[in-house]
Amino acid sequence: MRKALDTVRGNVLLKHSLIALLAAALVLLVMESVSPFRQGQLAMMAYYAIAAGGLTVLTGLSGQLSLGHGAFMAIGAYTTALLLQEREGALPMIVIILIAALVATVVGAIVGVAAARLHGPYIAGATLALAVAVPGIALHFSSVFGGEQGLNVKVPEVPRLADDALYFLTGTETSTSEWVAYSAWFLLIIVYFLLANLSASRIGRRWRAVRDDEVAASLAGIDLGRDRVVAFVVSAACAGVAGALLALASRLAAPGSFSLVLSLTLLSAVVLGGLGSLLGALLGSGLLALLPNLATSIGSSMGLSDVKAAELSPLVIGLTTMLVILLAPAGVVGSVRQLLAGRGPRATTAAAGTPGAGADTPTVAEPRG
Amino acid sequence: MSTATDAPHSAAAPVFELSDIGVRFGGIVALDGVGLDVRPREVHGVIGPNGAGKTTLFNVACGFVTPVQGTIAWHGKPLDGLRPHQLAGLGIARTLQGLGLFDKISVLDNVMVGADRHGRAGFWSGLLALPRSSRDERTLRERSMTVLDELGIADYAGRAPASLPYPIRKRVALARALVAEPELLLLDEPASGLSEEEMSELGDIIEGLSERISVMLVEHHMDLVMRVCDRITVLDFGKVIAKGTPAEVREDPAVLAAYLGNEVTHDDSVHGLNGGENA
Ligand SMILES: Nc1ncnc2c1ncn2[C@@H]1O[C@H](COP(=O)(O)OP(=O)(O)O)[C@@H](O)[C@H]1O
Ligand SMILES: [Mg+2]
Repeated sequence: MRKALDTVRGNVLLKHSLIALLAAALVLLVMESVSPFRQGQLAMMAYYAIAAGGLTVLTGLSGQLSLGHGAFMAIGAYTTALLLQEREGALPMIVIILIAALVATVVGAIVGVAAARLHGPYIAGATLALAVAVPGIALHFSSVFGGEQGLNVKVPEVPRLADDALYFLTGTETSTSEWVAYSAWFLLIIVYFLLANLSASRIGRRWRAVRDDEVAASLAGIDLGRDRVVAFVVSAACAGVAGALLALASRLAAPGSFSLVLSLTLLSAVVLGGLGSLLGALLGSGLLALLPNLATSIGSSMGLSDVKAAELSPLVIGLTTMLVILLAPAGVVGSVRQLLAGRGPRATTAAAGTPGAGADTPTVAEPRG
Repeated sequence: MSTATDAPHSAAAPVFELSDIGVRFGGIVALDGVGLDVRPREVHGVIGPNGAGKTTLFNVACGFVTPVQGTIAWHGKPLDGLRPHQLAGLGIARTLQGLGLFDKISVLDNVMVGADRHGRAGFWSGLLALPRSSRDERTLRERSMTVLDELGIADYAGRAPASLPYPIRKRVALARALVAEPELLLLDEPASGLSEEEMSELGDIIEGLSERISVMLVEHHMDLVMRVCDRITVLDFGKVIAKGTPAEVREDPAVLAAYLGNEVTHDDSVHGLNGGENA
């Protein structure tokens, strides 16, 4: 048993595949047992988490701060909307999502090349400008992008195969919105599987090295610029997928969905969960997807009007993030890991089974995967 | 060891050659017509008072500073305009005086970053966790553990660098440079902050290395320099004032004059050795 566990731990592919399968099973269970309203919230959590996962790789691993990831989501969303103006003859959903990711990737590569030449505050400034510019472009070319109203998205029918498969697994019919929620979660699992693989590979280690010390990294032969651009491209692709799913879930791509608040919310999710941790990004996204609803209901139970109550949610998100930064700067996952690392034996990042990682020695408690 | 039997390095063509290097920082002439060559398996010392230009010379050698004049050659081929990571790719490694360890990853991961140039798996095999990638990880890990073991610090593989005492951290930095299997290793003040005993162990390590690779050594501890170097280049105010074997350099009147009043052997308070590196 122990031996089997060690094998799994030592084999990245096996370990991540097992986690992915378990997660998929969990998704089926949860999705079937909640109301359509909750399914909508879960879809939201999933696309937030996909974007936040890419962002945590960019910011937490490669050390580049992006204040404008909402822009890449907008690009993914508008691409999706443009491809789904008619239900007749539309491409399969997965192809559309891939195209959305591709377009975001291309823009991400351009921004990434620019960002790789910049440093900290300047990258932040440039990405911030992007976050403001992209919805602006959508407004300016209103004949293409539908202006303030945005573009409606004609969500395709549930594919026969998926419908049958889900019927076989759950014994219930699958509505279109349910199908979008399922797709969001399955894509989330795939994206996190890939990101976790990257994080555990050479390139993940090089990202951490570049983040920790540029000079030493370049002396070790790391091409800083190239690795940074790769991180940007990866995270932009994730945001593109997330944007496509946002458009499918809300059946709309409109500038209002991609305000600066979205970019900052993503960053909050990443910081809340713990920079560089995918699990953290997932938890942070869950928190942020559920908070607005919670804040609104608390607000109205305290006698606020619905509008006033809805305005509470950015405040709550902001305050929560500030509290976490002040009280637990390593984020939720990071802090738990630190707590665990303070006690008992522990596995170290890559040195599972390394001799000498004695019981009373502080080890690296960096979030991973 | 600089014994008579080691001396015939001179017959071999140099591995690395700096000729007529000039570097200016604003009005300051940091290096002025400096030339030196490093032969295969030679330990080449670079000494001189503070501000002489030793660190700047290292910065030129590994591509952080572009000289306004002069050429750099690697096995006789010019190296102009190469960036630091490209020079590292050729087989030039360097330790920083300021250590420059990656603080948020384990000691083993630090060393594995140094080994990265021996990795073969690319982005896609990493993304899909293909067998190629895990084979790569295994090789890099084994290489790294071997070097950690050779330097006697394998027990610290899983630790965070910041939790370790300074001399151990210095060894980690050395391990990270060595695991790249460079042909030329630039050591910037490797003995600073070490005890007598640790320094003598370092001497053994450098002597062991010189059986395989070339080493350039900037160091203020003259005992160590005199013990391990085959040849020494002495800088003062950016110029070469003497060159030769330790015995020759020790007797050189120009060197004695330059060091007059400089408490060289015990000078640990050297600043600016990493000038420009952490900008
Ligand atoms: N980045 C820099 N900017 C300006 N001046 C520098 C820089 N680096 C070194 N110098 C100057 O160049 C000269 C040589 O410095 P350095 O190479 O650090 O000497 P050493 O290592 O021999 O002590 C000194 O006068 C130093 O002040
Ligand atoms: Mg110096």
